[in-house]
Amino acid sequence: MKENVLILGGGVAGMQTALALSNIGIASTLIEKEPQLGGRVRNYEKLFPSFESGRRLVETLEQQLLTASFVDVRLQTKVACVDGQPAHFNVWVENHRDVLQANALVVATGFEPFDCSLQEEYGYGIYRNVISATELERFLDSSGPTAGEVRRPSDGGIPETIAIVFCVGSRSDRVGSKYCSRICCSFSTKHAIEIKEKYPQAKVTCFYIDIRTYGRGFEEMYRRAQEMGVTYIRGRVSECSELLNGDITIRAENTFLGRPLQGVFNLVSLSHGMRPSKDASHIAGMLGIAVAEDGFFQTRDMHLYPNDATRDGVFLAGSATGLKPVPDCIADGNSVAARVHEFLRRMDIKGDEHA
Amino acid sequence: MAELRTAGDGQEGSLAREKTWQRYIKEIPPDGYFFLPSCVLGAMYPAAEAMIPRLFDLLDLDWECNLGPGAMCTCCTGMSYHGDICTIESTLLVVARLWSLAQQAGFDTIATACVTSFGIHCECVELYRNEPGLKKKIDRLLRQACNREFDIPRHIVHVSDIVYRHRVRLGRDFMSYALVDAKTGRPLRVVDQVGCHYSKLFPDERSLGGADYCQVLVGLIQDWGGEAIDYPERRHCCGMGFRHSIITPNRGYTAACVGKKMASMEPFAPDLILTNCPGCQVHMDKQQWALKELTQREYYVPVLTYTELAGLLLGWDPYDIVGIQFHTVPVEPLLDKIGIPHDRRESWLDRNGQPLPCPDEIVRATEEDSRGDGELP
Repeated sequence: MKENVLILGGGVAGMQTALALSNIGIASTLIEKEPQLGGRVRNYEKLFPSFESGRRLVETLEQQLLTASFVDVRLQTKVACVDGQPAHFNVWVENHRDVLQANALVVATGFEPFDCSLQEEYGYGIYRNVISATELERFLDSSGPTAGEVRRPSDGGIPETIAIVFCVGSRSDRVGSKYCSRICCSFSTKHAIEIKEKYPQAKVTCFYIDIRTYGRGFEEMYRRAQEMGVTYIRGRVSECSELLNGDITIRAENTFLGRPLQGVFNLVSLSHGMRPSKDASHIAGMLGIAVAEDGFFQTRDMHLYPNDATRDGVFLAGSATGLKPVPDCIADGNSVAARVHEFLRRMDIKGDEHA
Repeated sequence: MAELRTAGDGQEGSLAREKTWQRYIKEIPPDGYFFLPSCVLGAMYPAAEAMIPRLFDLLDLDWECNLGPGAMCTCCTGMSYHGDICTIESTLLVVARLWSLAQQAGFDTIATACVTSFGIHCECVELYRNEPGLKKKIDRLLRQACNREFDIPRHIVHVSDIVYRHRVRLGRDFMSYALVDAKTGRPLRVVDQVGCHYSKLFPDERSLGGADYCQVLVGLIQDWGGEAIDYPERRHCCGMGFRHSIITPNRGYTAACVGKKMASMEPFAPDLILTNCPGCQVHMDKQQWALKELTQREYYVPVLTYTELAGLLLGWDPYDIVGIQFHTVPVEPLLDKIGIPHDRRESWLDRNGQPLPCPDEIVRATEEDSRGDGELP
């Protein structure tokens, strides 16, 4: 048997898992359904809170994978079905005739952005100048379609007043996302800073429920945004409507003042929350593992075994268990490698014999 | 990564709306309606309600209504329930009796003319769904009160749902006119004003198209040739709000709500406001006069119910059948745009067809019409 560990998902968590396993002498097959590695991070020009390039991070990981001794990368590949027992899994791969044998499985399938059109009161997809955070990210990308300029989709003009609406599809029972997506406050604040850096005269207003910039350096980034003149209004936006010139009126409540308010903006960006990967339930059924109430994969124990799935020999990395910023995904990759190593030793399977 | 949307021809918004509407599925039975009239609509715009049976008969639908001498149908308690005058148990009991009447007549679909009645009936169904033991309690109370039995009806629909279901047939097979400016061929710009108790109480399963982009009136507007227009205060309530509009000194708030809506829709130059709620119809129509008196702003956009609009496009007599003389904002300018012939003197006929005393300006306008000044080519 050549491969020991099969990793589903070639985002940063999956890549780091493969690297960490290789570094301790365990071979792995990294399966990615897209034509390139890096997942969503590849599309982020700047990561919070350091504003370093996500693309460069992915390229670094790719370089390391190229030189890693025990990693087999398979792009545009999907798992068709899995059978066998822990430590002896058989994995059928779509479009390939071979059956891969794996001693352990790692699920690193990431997340999906929430479809903003489901929160209908914001008019995403209907009003031209209501865009999603993913679209704003592309606008702000210097290698994106507008070469880094923020443009109004309706007329191509540069907006002077921009609203950023937090928690779209998060913390909302109505749209089936009771949980906090955890990273949206931070990436929205990053967007606000990027806009102010590019257009110092622009008026950027953020509507939030609570600011949850919890990670190292995140709160400092939030403070920096305020110092740059970004306005934060605590209150959920109830409605967006379009005016004749394409501007968007926002109706909200300022919960600090206890008063409703209305404002007109040239452009509105919806900071969408995240949902489990579309394939999560299918993969869970295929591998015989559980998903939690929020739709992300269930861990064996939230405190003791946060990277173990509910079945022996299956492990979870990155945002498969809930939203995580990039440093946490990288840390998860290392943790999972350690858990896999421990499992293989327990099952008396020595990965380094393939060296 | 989703592709960036760029400046387009505006079609993308329409496509997205249709995608939104497809999320909402509401079963509207094709036939077999037990019709419950409205307290407000029949009192304020009697012809609008009287046209409902006329439309049902035109479409050859199976329906029944327990009205006339010895009528047993009552109010649904909506006014007093939302005015905090009666308890929910009273409402459940009265509604159970209405359902019992429908079932006695062999109907399993309740069709209400009033949006608040629609909301009340839907709320009762939801309460029975969610409160174990409630049905048993109301069963007992109904037996004690009037010795009747009832079941929860299979369908609760609003009459506008029924018209929506048959809108294509109405337009194709029966209508003589369309929502089009007869002189220019321009589709008329129509604002929809959907009752809150239709679209906002149970948007997911009871409202065609949900709360934000409700389809029930937009479908009629588009299928009958008009252009539905969106404006910022579109979803805002007309301000009826029951308790405060019942108390006369509080009616200023209602006028303020209508004022906010009118100011918001004015830049979009609407030709017509279309309603499916008796409360909206009354306030959007009457409060425009109040606004003129209070603020000297004369909007005067005609306000019609969906049945009145259907009646006009079907070519029914604007005064004798559609009853546009009950309106505060004159409807005649809209008739002129569509090209519907009318004789203003008909608005001053009594029930026997005899002329009532008519104001001088109406006489003058009628004479001008008869000279051809106001006639359409």
